Amino acid sequence: MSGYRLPKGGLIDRQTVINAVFDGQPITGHSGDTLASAALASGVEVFGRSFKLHRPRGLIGHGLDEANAIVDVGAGDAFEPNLKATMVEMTDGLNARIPNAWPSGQRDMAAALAWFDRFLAAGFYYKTFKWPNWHLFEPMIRKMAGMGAAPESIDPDTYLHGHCEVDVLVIGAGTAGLTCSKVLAEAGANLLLVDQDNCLGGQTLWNSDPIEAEQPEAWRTATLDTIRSARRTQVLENACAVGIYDHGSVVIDVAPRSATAHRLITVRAQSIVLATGAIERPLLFENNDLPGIMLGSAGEAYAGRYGVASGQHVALAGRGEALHRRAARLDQMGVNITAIIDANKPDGHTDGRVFGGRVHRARGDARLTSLKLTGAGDVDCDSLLMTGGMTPNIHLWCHTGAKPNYDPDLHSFIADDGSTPAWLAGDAAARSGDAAAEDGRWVGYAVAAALSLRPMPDAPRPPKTLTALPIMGSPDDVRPNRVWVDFHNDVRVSDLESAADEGFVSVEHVKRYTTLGMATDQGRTSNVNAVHTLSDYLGVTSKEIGTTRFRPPFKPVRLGAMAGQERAELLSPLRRTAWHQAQLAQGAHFEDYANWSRASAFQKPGETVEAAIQREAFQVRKGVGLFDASPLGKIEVWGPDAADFLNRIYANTIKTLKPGKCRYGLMMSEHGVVFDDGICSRLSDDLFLVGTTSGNANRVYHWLEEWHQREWPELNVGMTNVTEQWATMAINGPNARTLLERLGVDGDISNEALPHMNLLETQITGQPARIFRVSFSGELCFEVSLPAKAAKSLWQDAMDAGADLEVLPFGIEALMVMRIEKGFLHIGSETDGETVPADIGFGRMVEKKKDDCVGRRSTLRPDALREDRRQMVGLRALNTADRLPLGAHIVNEASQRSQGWVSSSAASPTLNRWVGLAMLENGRSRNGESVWLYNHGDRIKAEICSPCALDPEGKRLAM
Amino acid sequence: MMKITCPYCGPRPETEFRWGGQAVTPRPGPHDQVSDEDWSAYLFHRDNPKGEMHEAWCHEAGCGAWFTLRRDTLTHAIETDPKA
Repeated sequence: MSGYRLPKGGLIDRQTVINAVFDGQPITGHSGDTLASAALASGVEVFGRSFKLHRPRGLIGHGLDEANAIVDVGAGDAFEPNLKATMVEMTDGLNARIPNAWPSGQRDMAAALAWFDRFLAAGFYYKTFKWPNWHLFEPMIRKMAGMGAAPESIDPDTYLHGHCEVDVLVIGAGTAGLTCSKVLAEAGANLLLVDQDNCLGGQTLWNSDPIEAEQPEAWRTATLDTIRSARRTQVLENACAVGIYDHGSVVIDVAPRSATAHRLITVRAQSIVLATGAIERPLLFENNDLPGIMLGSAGEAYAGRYGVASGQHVALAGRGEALHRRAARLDQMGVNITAIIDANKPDGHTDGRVFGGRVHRARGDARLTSLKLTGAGDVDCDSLLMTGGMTPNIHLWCHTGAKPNYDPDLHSFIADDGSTPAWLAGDAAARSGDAAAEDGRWVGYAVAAALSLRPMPDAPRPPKTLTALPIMGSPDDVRPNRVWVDFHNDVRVSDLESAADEGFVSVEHVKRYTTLGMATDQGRTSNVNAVHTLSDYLGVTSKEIGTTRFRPPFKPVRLGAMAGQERAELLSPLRRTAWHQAQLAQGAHFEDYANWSRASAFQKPGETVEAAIQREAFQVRKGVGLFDASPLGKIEVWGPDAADFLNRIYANTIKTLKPGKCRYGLMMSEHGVVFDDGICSRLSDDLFLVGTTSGNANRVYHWLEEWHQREWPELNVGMTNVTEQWATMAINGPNARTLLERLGVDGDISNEALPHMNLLETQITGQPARIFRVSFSGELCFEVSLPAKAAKSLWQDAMDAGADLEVLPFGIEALMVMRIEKGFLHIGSETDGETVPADIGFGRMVEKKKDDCVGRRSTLRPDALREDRRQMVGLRALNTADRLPLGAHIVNEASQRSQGWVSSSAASPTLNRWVGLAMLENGRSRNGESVWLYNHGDRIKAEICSPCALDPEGKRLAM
Repeated sequence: MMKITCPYCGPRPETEFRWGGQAVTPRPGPHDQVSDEDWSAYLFHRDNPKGEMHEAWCHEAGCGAWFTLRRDTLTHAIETDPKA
């Protein structure tokens, strides 16, 4: 047992006792504890197992800097993997487990790997598991190196996205963030102050040094009171800025540590202040990853904030004044400091508890027991606090694309003052202690002046004072494979050296080869030490090595938070037609097509879907069938230049279309590729209705707008997508006219008055109606459109009116059977991103057109004119019992090469055989040829024929 | 996320807009008088500057208007052209 609860101190409520389990061991904590502080206080020593080598690891940090204590918590719906124990709030009944260990973190069998660690150097996996290929080994290796498992159930938590605009966003509520916010709050700025912690104050929460001659707690309370009481100020705790993006947008993950409601807020700020503090660096020596060795800042935070001592006998290592000040503060808190190892004193120096030199090696089996120093002598201790110097936390600043510079005086990568898209203040700007408070205030003045809230006082910015220590590299004559640089990803000095030996000189390459800094801590604690190790090894300066690019997110963000409310049915709202309920009552089987819920077939009790489709396709040609065609795209194009505009859009001639007439229209992209098709109707001289395929309505609408606005703005034309305003019923079959007449149509719909491809604007029982005599089934058909809001009763009215006319509802599947029988193409089935009009039999139609139109020139490309292009043909099986499998390849026997495929096929109930359409190389000139269809090992012999298998003269249409 | 100023609606977040590529790409024509080279240049060849670029954007989730703006591809600095 090493860590324990100090008798006094800390911002915890000792009256509240909370019980939880950590890696199978019961732990006790208080309100205000994190899982990490409670476990440390309860004597837990092993907090995790290292990523690659499964070495036992203790706590190294106390917040987002933690690299070792990664845990899975909860079970079932509440299961969450890979949390930092330092970021988990201590709650009753909490059950935390160490993920990549078996049977437990304390006794992990895979720790035997450490015996083979010499083989597990950087690049080991790439070099070793390459035969026969990496993917064979990958699953096993991933499991061994694994983090926690992904949750299996649906995340029950709620996530919201928020947006806000402010004058100033201050990130970080430590010393500088608070003084800066105070100035801005008093100046009347619209201010948002965020901090990732659940308690505001940063270092003042544990560091007992006075701030500007005040006690930290009193100073903090007074400053926060001023900020909170300002009228235009908002303060958010548990709010971590995870990324800075373009034009001053910052994404903030607001995730209370034990709550189930999360928000992801995008803040747009005119000015951003990054008061994000600094992160301490570990020291490099042998076995520096033993449990019991942690950052000095963490040791101080555990003692000051949580009242927990990191050990019974605590040693401090580092150098200079900061080291001794820290020791004095810890003394004050009651921590038993037994040794202070000061590198500024010579090796071998001893003076009471002060020892000269550095730590050469840590000793202990699964936990620290003693230290061997560079001079003579050993120090017995169960905890070592490393004071390795502070690194300004400039991750967010780097998200803006800015590049930090290495400052050899401060031994850190720092941001330039001034030329920044965001202000840095306090420790993040290399100013610490009272200077941080002063710097925050100065930045506050500067921002207030930039926002014209108050004049800038004539005072220089305080100088940089960061307690920067020279980076202490690993002492000489240590074994580099025992010195850890990146604790999270198990990268050692030896790995960096071998990367350098193998020619990885760029720091970005070293990062990827060794995985240094690629863990979820983003190299917070490892980055600077790694750069220093490399510069030492290669004999160049740290400035020349440079640093890797930090990228968002600053900390892991839940996928649920990114999705927000855009999930399940809200991801893409489903549309239902006016007749959805009526069809549901008739046994409709609904499927989703391009965000429309549509009936695929109407099953009778005891009937299979396949049988229903066959029955419907057969019956429609006998009696009359009702089809809900409401989702068909309908775009009104109006204005004096409407005809001219559409003539430039369609691949065929449209300007000659007379009012009252309909015409099939084909659209190409500018690349000459078939884009959409449908019926174009002219309602009057200056009003057209452009019909599109159901899935493409929106796309075609925006496309028309784009052509009008960008290419031909001089045309006096407008367009409106009215797809959802009209409910459309397609009445198909020989009895269609009789049925429609019974519905109370106002006007003559006889074959003479309303022939095929004509339209009638009229009324049905007092409602405006548009009747188009067009057909996709090959039967006599009227597409009847009524205003969607007034259409509801029409479905049942038609069913009632057709009771003696063999009326039936039918779905999309039956319509598809009928259109394949007729050889009508379906965009997306016969066509793909290569299809030009000539491929589907519309070459002549386009050629005949005199005017230019979208894509016209592209149909003259040599490739579009190639004779061996795939062309649409019909197929029939030579043995009528054979089916024509969709997607089967048409293979040339001699070359064994695919020449095309079956693009649509169906069993035809009317013809009693399968009918099929295919896209086949040079297909149109091969009529009558026998071909082999290859399908999953089967071969079927088929004959190429005309696409139209039923009523080629179109007699049924003309009834 | 960029903040883009629609000439009709004012500043709005990038997610409301659709990018339409390089703004000015004169369309050669009529179709029977355009060489393969000119047509392929119109279809496929675009400037790819490191720096200022004239781009077409559509306020698709807003007023639906197409407009042009100048965007620096390096810094994302944006200037919207006045209503055309």
